Amino acid sequence: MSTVADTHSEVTPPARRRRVLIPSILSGLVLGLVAAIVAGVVVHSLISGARQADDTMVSAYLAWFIFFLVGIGAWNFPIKWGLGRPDTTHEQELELAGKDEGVWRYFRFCTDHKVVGIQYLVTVLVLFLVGGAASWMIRLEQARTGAKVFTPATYNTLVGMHGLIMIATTIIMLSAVIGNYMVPIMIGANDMAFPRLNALSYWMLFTAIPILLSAVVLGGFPTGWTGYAPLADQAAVGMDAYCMTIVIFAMSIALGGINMVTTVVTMRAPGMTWGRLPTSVWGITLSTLLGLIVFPAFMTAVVLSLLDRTVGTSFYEASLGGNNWLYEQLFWFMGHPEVYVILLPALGAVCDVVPVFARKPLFAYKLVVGGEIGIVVLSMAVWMHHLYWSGANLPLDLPTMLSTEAISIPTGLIFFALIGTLWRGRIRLEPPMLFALAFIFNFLIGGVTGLYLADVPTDAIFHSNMFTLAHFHFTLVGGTVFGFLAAFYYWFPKMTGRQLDPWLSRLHFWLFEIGFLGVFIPLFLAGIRGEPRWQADISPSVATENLISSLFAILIVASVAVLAYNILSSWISGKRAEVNQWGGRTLEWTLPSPVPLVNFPHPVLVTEGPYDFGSGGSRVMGRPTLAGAAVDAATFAAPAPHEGYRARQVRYATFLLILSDAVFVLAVYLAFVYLHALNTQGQFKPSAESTPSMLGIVLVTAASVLAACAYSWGQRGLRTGDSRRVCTGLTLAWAISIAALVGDVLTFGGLGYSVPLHAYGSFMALFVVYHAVRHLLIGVLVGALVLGRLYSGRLAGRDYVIQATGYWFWWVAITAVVMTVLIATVK
Amino acid sequence: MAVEAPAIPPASSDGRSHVRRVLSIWAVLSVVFVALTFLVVPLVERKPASSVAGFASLTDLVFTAVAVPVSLFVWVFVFYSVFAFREKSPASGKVEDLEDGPPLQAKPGQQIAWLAVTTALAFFTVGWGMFGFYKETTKSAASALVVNVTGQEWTWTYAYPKLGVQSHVLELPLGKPVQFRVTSDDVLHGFGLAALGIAMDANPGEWVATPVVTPDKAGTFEVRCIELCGLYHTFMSSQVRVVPPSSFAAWIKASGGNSSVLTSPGGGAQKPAPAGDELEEIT
Repeated sequence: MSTVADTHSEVTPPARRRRVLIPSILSGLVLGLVAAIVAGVVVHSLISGARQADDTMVSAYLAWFIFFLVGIGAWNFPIKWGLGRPDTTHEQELELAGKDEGVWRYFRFCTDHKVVGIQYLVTVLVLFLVGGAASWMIRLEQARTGAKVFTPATYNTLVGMHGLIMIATTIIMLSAVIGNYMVPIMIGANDMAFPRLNALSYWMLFTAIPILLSAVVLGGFPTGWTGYAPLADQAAVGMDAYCMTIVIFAMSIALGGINMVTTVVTMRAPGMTWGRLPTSVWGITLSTLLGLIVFPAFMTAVVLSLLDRTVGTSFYEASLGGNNWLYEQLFWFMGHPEVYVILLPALGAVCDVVPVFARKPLFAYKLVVGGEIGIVVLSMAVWMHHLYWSGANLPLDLPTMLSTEAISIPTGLIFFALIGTLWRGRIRLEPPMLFALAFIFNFLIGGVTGLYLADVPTDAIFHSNMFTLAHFHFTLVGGTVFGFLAAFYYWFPKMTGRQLDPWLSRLHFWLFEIGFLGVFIPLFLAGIRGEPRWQADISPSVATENLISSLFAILIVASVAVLAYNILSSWISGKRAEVNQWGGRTLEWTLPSPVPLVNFPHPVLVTEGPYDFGSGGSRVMGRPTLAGAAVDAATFAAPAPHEGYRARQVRYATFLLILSDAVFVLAVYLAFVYLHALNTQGQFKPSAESTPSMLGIVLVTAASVLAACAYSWGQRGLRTGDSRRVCTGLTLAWAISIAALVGDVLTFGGLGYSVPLHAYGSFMALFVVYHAVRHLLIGVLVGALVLGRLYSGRLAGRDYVIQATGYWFWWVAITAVVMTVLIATVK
Repeated sequence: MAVEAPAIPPASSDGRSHVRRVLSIWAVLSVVFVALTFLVVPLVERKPASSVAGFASLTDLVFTAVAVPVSLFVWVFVFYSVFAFREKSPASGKVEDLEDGPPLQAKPGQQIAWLAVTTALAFFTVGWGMFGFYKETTKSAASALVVNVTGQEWTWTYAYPKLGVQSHVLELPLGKPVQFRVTSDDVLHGFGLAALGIAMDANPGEWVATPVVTPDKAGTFEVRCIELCGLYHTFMSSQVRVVPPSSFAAWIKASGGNSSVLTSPGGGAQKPAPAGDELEEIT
């Protein structure tokens, strides 16, 4: 099949395969639901007391998560691999990727990155609709004074659901949709580095959605999307749904980030240097990297909350040595970089769209990339501006103000580039360009209003005020969502092979922009007039502003209806899309629309930059090489010219996984030291009744170290070809790890379940839980698979697998030692 | 498919006249809107009732006056470009017939100028904020009346420890420095007294001191809870009354407190704790 195809992609219907129902989404749903019910019933009968409801629901959620993934076949490949089955053939890989399969491939575990991208796209659109509906209900309530439509409890849940759904959706709207579908194509690869991991990330996210929605029928949650403790500790069962959603979402993000970064680092086509990477790819890569670094802090905060709720620890309970500042620090360490996780892909997409519709190179490409990197670095130093008035660190307010204002400098570079690109261009106002221009307009307002919040004196009045709310809606919606829509309109023809109706697209744009401005500008005024956030009943002094805002919300509803109709009618029966719909220069515009199963049958050679408009030269940045090259069965990508290609990818992935875990572990260490520092009246110390056994902790730590040593001893056998040594060493390490796991269970079991644990004891409980559940369990499960394949003899030539697992064993040992030393010495 | 390199139009008369036009539009609009800023902002804002709130209001005004020309700069360039350089799609409808614009790239001088201006603006705002923060914290009054504020689901309680009064209404003497020490009995709350320019979270297990503030306008204001605290967060507010010192003394007496402390040397005030300090005990 030629890659430079004709104008319209002709689709001759291939012979369809029979639909496979098991495994598929159907078997996943059934198995997951059954397991959830069974787990819930079992735990409910075993546990009694105050925490019964929480323990029941958390067990049900965990069972749903694990067994849905079993039912959809996510674990099939690892298990077969561990049982020593032969490597999959090229034909089997193509089948798994959905060759000659119809629309059903979207409803099962499918490894084609394009299928995963579309799965994410549909999910994102549905989530936007649900989160948007929540916001329309909020506007409905706030249209008039008096809590007329919803009770305060329902209102608080609506606010929380709206917030969490929108935050989660805006995080994935570009990184997962365009990241999965387009990034491999834009770098000239045939798939992601780890296609199965990719599909797993999607289905993990999928399991989180029913969990979050179940909160609505379980009494909701009262904390808003931030989940602040100790209100979170106090709340009813719906809060557990919130916590589990975050835990699963954080895992999905980490896996997605590992995959994305490894892909972009290792799979760029020849000639695709870092300096020729489209800004969308830069934005998505930097965003997913930042996400995998900061999300573990949120996970820590929420896991501590879950433990407070289900086990009876007291990380956030002041009377027992806990402190709510711990939650706030952990949360906002994630919370601020997170908005840049949301922003960077949108920035990148806008910087990709504008040059195409101005037919000019991106002005100051290096400054854009430098600006994005500057944003990533600075974003991790500004989180305390959310804590100006928390009481936690007033002396640090000044340095934080400095770093926060400073972040406007790299952000400003983007505006410099966009103005310069538009200047003296040849501007076509197609729908993607309209949204990109609106991004510039809206985000500027959002950014400028942030100044008032960054400044300590004015923030005293605007903190937790509608002014703050309008500010972040201008940046998140006016900025990033408009950036998403620019990307959506830009790439929809390539992804679906259909064109969206241009008239409806413009109508959508104007309804949305005018509606958006009309909703949020009055809210700035309401904030200046003193309206705080989270008001279930607005006061009469701000009734007019709120009414105007709610009336303009109707335009947004209309715009969504227009968009929905446009998407549905176009996807089903719209005009066929061109190969190069907009005149772009990046690699995807050389492929048919929609892109077929194998992106590049022949490797691509990149010869120019993505924005070299006006300099003469070819119409697109790269071309397929004439010589056909064999395609690697496992990854689809053309093999790299040097050896150890797969080894390199696995090493990067292991490093990124450990990096992500390191943030979680570091957060735990710092939490320990922080609570110790805060408890100046000596409450933070072991107490006789409620502390796990220190001996138990020392023993499991020693066991972890022993296991790592045994592993390394066995690993030495690879060098000398002594396979018996390898088998013995690895098996020994695995067996010792199981013993350590049992030791963790016994230590935890000796806690005296009904006693609420003092804060110090809580850390010992946390150590045991974390050591067992995250570190050892992964080591034991992965170790079992590796051992299985080792004994089958099929691991030959794949030393990097043994190496990577070895890194994990040592990581577990080292972190356990540090934690044990901390617990033993910091009293 | 090589295309002949189009001649880059010289950056002379045509380009320069565009720049001149844009800059003049920008200058005119900036003058107009900055003038409007000075008119509109004081009208829209609430009247400050302390110097702390007054400085915040001034900051709003100054920042807006600076933000307006900066934002207009970007918008004028964007809107002008869209109107002056707009092009219709080619008649043939083929993307191959699209003509490219000139391959302009950022010159070092432009990059440096942009970076210098944005850095200067950022440091200006930081410096301004530092000045205000310094005034509020280090240069505040030497002695202040202490009010202990306790938040609980879903009401505020005010205690005047030296005067022996507890109340759900916050009564304050006009013109006398006051410092609030804030705590919570249950979950996180937010003590928001925007009229005086004061905000501080109410943390369970901690007493945190706000900056010292002097109410300089008599009247009735409001405390709102500014941290989502559960079911009735919306309704967790209380009245603030700033009254002449004599009325304050009378109110203390009527509430069963020791109003004679107010007339003693020191007037019931004490050395304030540093703002943001986490106090162990209430003195």
